[in-house]
Amino acid sequence: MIEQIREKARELLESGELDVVIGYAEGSDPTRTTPIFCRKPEDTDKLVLDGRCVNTLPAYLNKRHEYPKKGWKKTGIIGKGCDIRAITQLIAENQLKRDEVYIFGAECEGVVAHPEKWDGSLHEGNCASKCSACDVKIPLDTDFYPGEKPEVDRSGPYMVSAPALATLVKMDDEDRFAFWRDDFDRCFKCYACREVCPHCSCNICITDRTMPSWVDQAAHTKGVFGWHLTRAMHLVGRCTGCGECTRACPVNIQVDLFNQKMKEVIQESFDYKSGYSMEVKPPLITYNTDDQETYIR
Amino acid sequence: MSKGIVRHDFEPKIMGFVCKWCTYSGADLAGTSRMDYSPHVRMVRLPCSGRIDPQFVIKAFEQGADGVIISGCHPGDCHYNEGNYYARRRNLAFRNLMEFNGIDIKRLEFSWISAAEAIKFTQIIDKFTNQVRDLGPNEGYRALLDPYASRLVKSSEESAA
Amino acid sequence: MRTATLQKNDLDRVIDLLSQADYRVIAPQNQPRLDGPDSIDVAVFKEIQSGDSHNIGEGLSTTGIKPFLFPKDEPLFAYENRGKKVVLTEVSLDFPKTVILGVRPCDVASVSSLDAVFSDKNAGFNDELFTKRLEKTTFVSYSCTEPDVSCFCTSVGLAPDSDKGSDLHMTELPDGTLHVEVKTKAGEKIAAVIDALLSGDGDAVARQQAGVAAAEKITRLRDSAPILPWLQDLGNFGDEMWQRLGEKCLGCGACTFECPTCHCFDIVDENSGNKGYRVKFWDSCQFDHFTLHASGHNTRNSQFERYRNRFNCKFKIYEDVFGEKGCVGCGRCIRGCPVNLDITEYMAEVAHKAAIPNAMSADPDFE
Repeated sequence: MIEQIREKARELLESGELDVVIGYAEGSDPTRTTPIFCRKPEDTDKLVLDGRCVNTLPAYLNKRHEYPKKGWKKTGIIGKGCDIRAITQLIAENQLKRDEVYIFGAECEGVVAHPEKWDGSLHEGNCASKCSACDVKIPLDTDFYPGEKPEVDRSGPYMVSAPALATLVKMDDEDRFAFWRDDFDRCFKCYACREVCPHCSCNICITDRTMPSWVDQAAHTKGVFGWHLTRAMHLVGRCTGCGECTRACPVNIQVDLFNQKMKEVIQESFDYKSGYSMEVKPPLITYNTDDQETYIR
Repeated sequence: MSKGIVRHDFEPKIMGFVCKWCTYSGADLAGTSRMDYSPHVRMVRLPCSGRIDPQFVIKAFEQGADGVIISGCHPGDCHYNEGNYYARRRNLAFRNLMEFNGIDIKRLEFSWISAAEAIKFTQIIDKFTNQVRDLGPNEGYRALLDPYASRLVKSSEESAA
Repeated sequence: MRTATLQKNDLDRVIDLLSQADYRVIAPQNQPRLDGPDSIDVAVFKEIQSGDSHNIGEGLSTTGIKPFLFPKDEPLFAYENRGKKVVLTEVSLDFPKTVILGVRPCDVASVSSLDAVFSDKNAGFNDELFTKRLEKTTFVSYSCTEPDVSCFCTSVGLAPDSDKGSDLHMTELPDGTLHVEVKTKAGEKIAAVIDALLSGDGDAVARQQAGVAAAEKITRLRDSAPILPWLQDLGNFGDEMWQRLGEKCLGCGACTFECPTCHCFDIVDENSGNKGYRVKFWDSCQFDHFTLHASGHNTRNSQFERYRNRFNCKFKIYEDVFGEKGCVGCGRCIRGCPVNLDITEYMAEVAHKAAIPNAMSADPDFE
């Protein structure tokens, strides 16, 4: 599979059709892979694709990371199904044009939840929970796909995958607040959750603005609550559920639970699943006159 | 309309973010009509309910509000045609988010009040005030309000101005 | 100074005795985990009460002891505007007597790196928030016996059994006992508190062997000797390697916030009505607004330059200014990096480049 992608990538880099191919290469430890920017045809030999490829590479396509994009006219990107959903969502939000990217897709068997759990193979014990409810293991929209792409029914509703969510929803409000307060105690606001996110594409994040200061910059609990609520609200109806925010968190705060909860709400209220269409507008930038308003007096 | 003065152990702090075309005018009407309503709401006038960023509500809770009320024009009445439709979707999501965060959702009120509905305005304010008063202080956030109070020592009467 | 033997299962008793002696005891503790495969084990240093479970001696904690000397956020003073008068309220500099248990040698060695910045030894300014905490803190370090794949302390002049900066040093011996070495006066006080649990003179030979055995397990071996002269050659500042290795950096601050020696902070006024706090909190050189001037000019405008700065800070600026390395080789920046940007790859690359004379090359594909 990866051989065919390597070959195609090499061909397109040689012909000059692509300036760069973003993919995965072997990392510095056997348990890890690392993003690689292939600019020369021979770089494509380093490409790998397996269960260790956790990164959501479309993060490099959004505006925040303008620097490596300098001089790229057409970018090739190797994507798992969930990554390609992120690209689709970026296009739906006008953050990217479809003809700026060339998508290499491949069937994905799931990825490891965290590199430190990699023990040579992917199995139930270490596979990320997001993969259990995945309907894009055969990716949605690709320019290159090794072999024949089978038809997949993706009409089903969004399924919450994190088992922890069920536990949290059952709690009382007070307990849930206490749970987050205790977890957020560890947060030191490194913003890894923001930086790995393909959808956090603001050039200057609201937390980095100090006049006015909407979110306290210091990492006391109040400021951490402010940040994670803001982040979650800004991703409502946009998050494609790659789970990188949780995976990247150095102190293992499962911030994607907020996103998963909101995806469920959006699915139920507006029948919208992010990352499946380049045309349908995300729910919060549009409206229906007969939207649900049971909560309004 | 006059109500007797009742003392309570706890008087809530309530923030109101309202649209200037409808709810704020409704409040004006209530005032000029000498209607009686709870004085707990600190109202902020905004051009449209669509302008009310959830960030305002988060900030209000962070600054010690026990309840937040958001109000705007009825659907179809928006001065800007569609602002309240966006607000409706956004707040539906936001309420769910706050609930998942562990805020009692009864502390967050959303209502449509037109410029003519002074009575509805007073009723909603009174009802919401009572509701929040029954819930008591927003303990979760109040504990976070002043993160460094325990670190301070003496107050030196130094002045600089 | 004194050496002795301590039974490993007496560590709980050590915590009890120290608590009774009015010490605030800090020890690494595992954090509760959520259900599901997505959660991983996280251990952080936290205040511990008698009877709490700890994981002293089990791996390296996810974050270090930095927060107890240089917290992630703290107030400098409070202010209140009363009409034309501004009333300032100072913060207390009276910190509790603290002992930090089970500190790994890399973490305890990092204290002197922080001290170099915050005390008036070099910088000419004494940051009392740091130095008063340090005065009250005693470090009980604990040798590593099982360094993991990301550890590289031997490449920066330390060792898994190093006792640099420690007050009282413990080494776990193969027979399960702990070899205790008292290093300072503060360590003597600790030893006096736990005297009932100490016996004999310890086994210095076994301790030595344990250290050697642990050092042999470290697989990340880099030669740091050529790094300083290479970095001091300013011609290498424009080398192609910086961009090649650093362009995948996403610009989060995970490496700097987990780093035991990173010490940059920002100060803001957190205002609420007519009063507020002036707050000092961690900042990271990896953030895009770290070097952003008011004019809009950014001196480090792209991400690879920011990582180049971090590497230079650790291996050149620290040595130039303070005469010591800014890196203790704990490997947290490697484990915590979302994109596997690896500081030891930089070290290897520099050593490689330094070995080839005139190897500096500007890659024509860049810029």
